Amino acid sequence: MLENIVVLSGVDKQKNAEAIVSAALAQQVKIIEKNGGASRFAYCDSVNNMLPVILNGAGVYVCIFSADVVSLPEEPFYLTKGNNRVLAYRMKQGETFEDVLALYNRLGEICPDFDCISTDSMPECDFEEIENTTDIYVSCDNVKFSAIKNCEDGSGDLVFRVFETGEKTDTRLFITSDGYDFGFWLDIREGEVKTFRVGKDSIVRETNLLEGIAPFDEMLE
Amino acid sequence: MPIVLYPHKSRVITFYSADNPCVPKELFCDMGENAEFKPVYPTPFRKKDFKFVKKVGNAYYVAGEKGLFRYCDSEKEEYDRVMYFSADRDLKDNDVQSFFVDGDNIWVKTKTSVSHIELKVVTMEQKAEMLREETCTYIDRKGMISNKLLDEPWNIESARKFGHSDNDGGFTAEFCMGEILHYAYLKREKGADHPETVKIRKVARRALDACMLLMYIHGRGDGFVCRSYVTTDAPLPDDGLFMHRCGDVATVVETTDSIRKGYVGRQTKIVEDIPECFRYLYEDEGYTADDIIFKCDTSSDEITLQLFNLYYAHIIFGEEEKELDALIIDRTKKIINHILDNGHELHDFHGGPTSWARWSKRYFESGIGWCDGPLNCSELLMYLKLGQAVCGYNERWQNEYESLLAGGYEKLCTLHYDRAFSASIVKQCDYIEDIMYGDHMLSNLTFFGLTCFEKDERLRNIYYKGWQSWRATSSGKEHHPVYDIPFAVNFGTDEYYDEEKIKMWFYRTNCSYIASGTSLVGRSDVATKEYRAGYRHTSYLLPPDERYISKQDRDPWEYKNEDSHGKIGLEMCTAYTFSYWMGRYYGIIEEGGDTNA
Repeated sequence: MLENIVVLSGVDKQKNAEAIVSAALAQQVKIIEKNGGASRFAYCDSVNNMLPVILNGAGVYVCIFSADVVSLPEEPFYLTKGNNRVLAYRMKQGETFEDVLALYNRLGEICPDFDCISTDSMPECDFEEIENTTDIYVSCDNVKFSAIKNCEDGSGDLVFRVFETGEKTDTRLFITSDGYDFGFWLDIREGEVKTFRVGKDSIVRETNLLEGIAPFDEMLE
Repeated sequence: MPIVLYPHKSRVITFYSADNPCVPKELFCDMGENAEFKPVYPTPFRKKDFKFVKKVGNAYYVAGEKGLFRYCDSEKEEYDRVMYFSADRDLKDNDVQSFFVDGDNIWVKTKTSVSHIELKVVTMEQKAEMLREETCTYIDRKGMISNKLLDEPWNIESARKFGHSDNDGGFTAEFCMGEILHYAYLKREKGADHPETVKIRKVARRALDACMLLMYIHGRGDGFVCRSYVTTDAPLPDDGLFMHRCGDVATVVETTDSIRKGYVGRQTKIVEDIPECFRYLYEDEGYTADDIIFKCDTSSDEITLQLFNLYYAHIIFGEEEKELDALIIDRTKKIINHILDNGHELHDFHGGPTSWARWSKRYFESGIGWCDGPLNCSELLMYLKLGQAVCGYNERWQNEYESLLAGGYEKLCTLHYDRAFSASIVKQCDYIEDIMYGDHMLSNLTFFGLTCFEKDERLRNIYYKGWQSWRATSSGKEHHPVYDIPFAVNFGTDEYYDEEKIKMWFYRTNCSYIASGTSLVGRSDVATKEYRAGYRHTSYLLPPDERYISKQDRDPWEYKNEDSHGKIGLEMCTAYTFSYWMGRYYGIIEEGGDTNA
């Protein structure tokens, strides 16, 4: 039965995946958003994945990734860290969060060994492996991704957000991507969060949560 | 611990025509096959624009229609690993047709010219000398230092004889302070009679004399300070109010401003002589006092810079030259008393306040003055303490100081960001877009002065808070040593004091201040942030030799190619020399050995 729908955001996203899985298994994850978790700007990221949604049911934890996280397998798989294991499901393009909730009731269809969490029929993917498959590279350890997604306006522009983990007052780093053909230098201060949008022309612009979609004045109206 | 600056590669650029015999023949050979190159770091232009790729030693050199960059991941400093050379500063155009690497130097043939890019290892002191020589040779105008226009792009020899700056007095005072500290350092380290010390003393004295001349040429004897002056044979600028002194009167001359305000023909009496020791500045060029047309409507910027310069002149030259010190003390008294006698305003020939030299409560309560209040009230407090540091205890000034603090200036001096942010909301722009970068030097000197002269810890903490209302919101983010060094003198470091960025600033400043631009706009390794009213910032603070050249009163993060008239502009050296010599004098920076450890 569906009990807790949780979206992790803000500070929680700075914990590493192992801690997230441990917390989830210990049922200590807090409800952050009350709208079912499918907020317009809530999504998953890749490196040290901050799992944005965890469905708690029957002792098994399922992590839902948005369709934009292209570095993850398309078919469901297990995320493992030591003895901890979470079932990971990457949404299909066009699939909504509500669709996935409905899927929850049919978990047995996507995970034949749901009850016993068998490793035999499901591919396994280590956290480290996910980290290495991302195509967007950040050059330092104290700056993490909290989001990699498509722009909400349907333009196909890439949007990603990075944050400094509170370790250094000032960091000079670079972010590159061969696949998206961009690379730029960045100065970021302690705890800062920065959002970038990359157009099809590979030009990188810093934006914010609004992703540069609407002019500021329009948003005020 | 002082910041140690080691000798470092600095760009020295020389342009040639393709047929100049100095140009090596290798530059005209076929470029051959490109080397394989897989950069890890972002590059200034994309792979699709790589036309030529050569590997020489540990470095790759990549060129095309967007200029040339050097990529060397074994360079010690990360910011040196990718160096971009572009038009107009390093190349005359970006269309590179061939290049030849000769050691650490690069010959580059572009469509219109040949550049010799020398990565010359110099000490930061040598760089200061190069920049000062350039300024003193080509910018000095009767001792005044600001900037010059060139008749021919890039050609420093074509610097125009005429040309003034609205802030000649203030800019000269900044230059002067740097050279006074330079002189003081040399005197301390090498002795007063060392040839270098003697030479720099003359430089500093000339600048000081030019500054002090502006305090006398109006002839009013009332503590007024002029902005600048020109001579009767020079083209008269049309950007303010000017008076021609002739005989025993000075008369307002025709300019757009004076006509509009109905001031043409207004006169003041000449009641005070120009001290003989300052007259050489115009007499040596064949002029008399009757050839002087001085500029009025002086701002508070000028007063702050001029007064602080008098302070340094007093403490460094005062003991050596008693007559000069008497003039310094006299002018300091007159200026401060003028401000107090005129209701905290600088009054001009018309009997009213100048446009921008107001430190009065009525000004702070006005629409325009509301934002200026925190800075200007702090300035006035500083003047009253600085004046006593120069002239000795003064009961009137001390009483005024205490009265102003008790009357609200104590709180007001900490409110810069509050008011500036509110104003930006009213103007419907982001705060960043409304910053007056010229105020950073004023706020920096003001709070430096206040925290030097005030010994009461409670008040020093308030002034620290006032200083941080600037540093935390704008000036600290420039990472400019001219702002960071004074702060370090009094308070050590704070979260905005970045030693690596200070080093980068010194290491990567050009050896010449011809203000030719760079091809920053369009670089693919720079992301941009656009603010509400369209202003744009770079995603990282570029090294000075890859962004526009200007005085320090500009935003180093601004996304643009040039300032200060570009390739027909020559900027003064002060941004560098004032920073450098203040750092050496106070022991915040020191030179390392021959090798970069």
